[in-house]
Amino acid sequence: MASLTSSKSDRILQITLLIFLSILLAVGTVPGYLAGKWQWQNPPAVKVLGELKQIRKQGIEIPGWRTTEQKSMILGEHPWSIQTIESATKDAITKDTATVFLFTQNGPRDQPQVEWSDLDGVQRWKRDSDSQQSFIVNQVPVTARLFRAWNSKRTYAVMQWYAWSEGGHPEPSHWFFADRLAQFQGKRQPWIAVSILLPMEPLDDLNKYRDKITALAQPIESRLLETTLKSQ
Amino acid sequence: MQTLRSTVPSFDPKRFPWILGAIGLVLTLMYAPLLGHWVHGWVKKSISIEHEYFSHGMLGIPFAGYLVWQGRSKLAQFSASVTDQLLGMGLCTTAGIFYMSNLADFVSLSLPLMLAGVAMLLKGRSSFAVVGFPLLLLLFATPNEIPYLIAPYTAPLQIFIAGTAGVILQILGIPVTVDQMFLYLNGKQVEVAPYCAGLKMLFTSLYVALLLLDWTGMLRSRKFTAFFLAGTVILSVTGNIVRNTLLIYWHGTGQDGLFNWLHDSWGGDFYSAGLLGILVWAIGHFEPRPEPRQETQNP
Repeated sequence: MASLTSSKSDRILQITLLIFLSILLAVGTVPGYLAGKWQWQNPPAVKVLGELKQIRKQGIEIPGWRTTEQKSMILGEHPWSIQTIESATKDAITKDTATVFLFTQNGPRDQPQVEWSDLDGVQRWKRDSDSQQSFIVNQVPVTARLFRAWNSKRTYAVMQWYAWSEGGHPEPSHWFFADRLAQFQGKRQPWIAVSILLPMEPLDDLNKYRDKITALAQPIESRLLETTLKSQ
Repeated sequence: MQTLRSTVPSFDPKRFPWILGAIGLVLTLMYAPLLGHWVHGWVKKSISIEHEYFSHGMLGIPFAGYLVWQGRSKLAQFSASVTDQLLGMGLCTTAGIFYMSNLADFVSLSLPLMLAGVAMLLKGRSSFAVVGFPLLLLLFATPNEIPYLIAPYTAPLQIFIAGTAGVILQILGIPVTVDQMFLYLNGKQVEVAPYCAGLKMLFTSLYVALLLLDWTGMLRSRKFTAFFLAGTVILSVTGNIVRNTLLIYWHGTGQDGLFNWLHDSWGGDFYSAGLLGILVWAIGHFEPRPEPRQETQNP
C-alpha cells in the first residue's frame, strides 16, 4: 500500500488524467471554440417540418375513406387539423362517418406533451372504459389508447396515439426514448398526434366498436408511415 | 525589506501543484461553454421550461464551489485505494463518452460525473465527506428532461389543486364549477396545467431548504432535516394552491392585468422570493438550539 500513497504513483495518475482530459478537450471542445457554436446547443434538425405543417393545415388522405370537411383550428393554444370523413362505400346504410384530429411537431425542440388533455378540455366530455389496443402496420407496432366518451348529444369511441416512424404509443415517454436513441445517430423521430372519434350508439358497449375503429386507425397510420414519416 | 517580504505569501514554483492546476484549467476550458449556456438559459429563459426547472443552480453551484474551497486543506489529506482509482477511472470514462455524445442531456450530466470521477480517482471515497454534498448540489442543478417525463403523471396533483382552489372560491361565495383540472368561472375556462402544478417551485424550495440546512449545520440532524423538508413540501403545496386560486379568480373576473402580473411577469418571481423568504425565516425560528444547562452552573 505504501507505493500507492507515494507521490510518484500519485504523479503518474495525475498525468494520465491530464492526458485523458486534454484529449477530450482537443477532440470534443476545441472544434466548438473554433466554430463559435456548440453542437449540444440544438438537437439534430427535423427534416420534415414542412410536411408536418402541411398535415396540420390540410389533414391527410385516408385510403378507403372520403374527406367531407376539413378545417384547421386552435385547440388548447395549438393548431390542429380536424377532418370529417366517411367510408367510401355507395351503400348509405353501411356508410360510416368519423372525425380525425391531427397535430404535429412544429420545431426541433417540440415534444408531445398534453395533447390528450388539451382535447379533453375542448370536448368537455365524460369518459370511461379506458383500455389499450395494439396493431401492426408495415411491420411497425402501434399501441393506442381507446375509451368511450360522451356529451349531452353523442357518444364516441375514441382512439389516440402519437405516431413516429418506428412506433406509436399514447404516452410521450415512449416517443421520447425512441427520439433520443435516434439522436445518437444524428437523426430524429418526428411525431404526429392522432385522435379518432367514431360515433356510436348512446352508451353502447365500447368493445363492439373496437375492430371498426382499429380498421380506421390502420390506414391512417399506414398513410403517415408511407408519406411524412418515411425514410426517417 | 526582509520583514516586508515575509508578509507577502511566497510563491515557490517547486511546491506549486502544476499538474493539478493544469487539470483544473483543462476542466474549466471543457465546461465553461456549457455552464455559460446553462446560465444564459436561466437568466434569459431562452432554452425551455424544463431547463428553467434547474435555475436554482445559479445559487447552488457557486455555493458548492465555495464549500469545496473551504474544505481544500482537508481534501489534501485523503488518498485513493486501488478500488477507488478503478472506480474513478470508470466514472471518468463514462463521463468522457457522455461528453463526446454532443447531446445536451448527456453533455450536461457528464459534468457532475466527471468531477465525481476526478475526486474518486485522486482522493478516494473518503474525500466525499468534503465533495459529496457539493456534488449533490451540482447534480440537482444539472438540467435534464425529468420534468418533461413526469409532466404526464402530475394529473392527480392538478386535480387536487383545482379541487381545493374550487372549494376555497366557493366558500368565498364565488360561483365556480370544477371538472377534473378545469375550472369554469363566468363562462371562462381555466386549466391547472401540468406546469401550474407547482413542481418547479417545489423542487426549488427543497433545493434551497438543503442549502439552508447545510449552511446552519443542521444537515447532520436527521430528525430536523426530515422535519424541515416535510415542512417545505407542505409550504410549497399550500403556496401553490393560494397562487392558483388567485389566478383563477383574476382570470374568471377579467382582471387580466393582475393575472398576467402573477402568471407571466415579476409577480411570479415575487411569489417565489416570498416563499423562499419564509424558508429562511423558518429555519432561524425552528432551529433547535442547545439548552443552556443552568442546573450544572447553579447547583
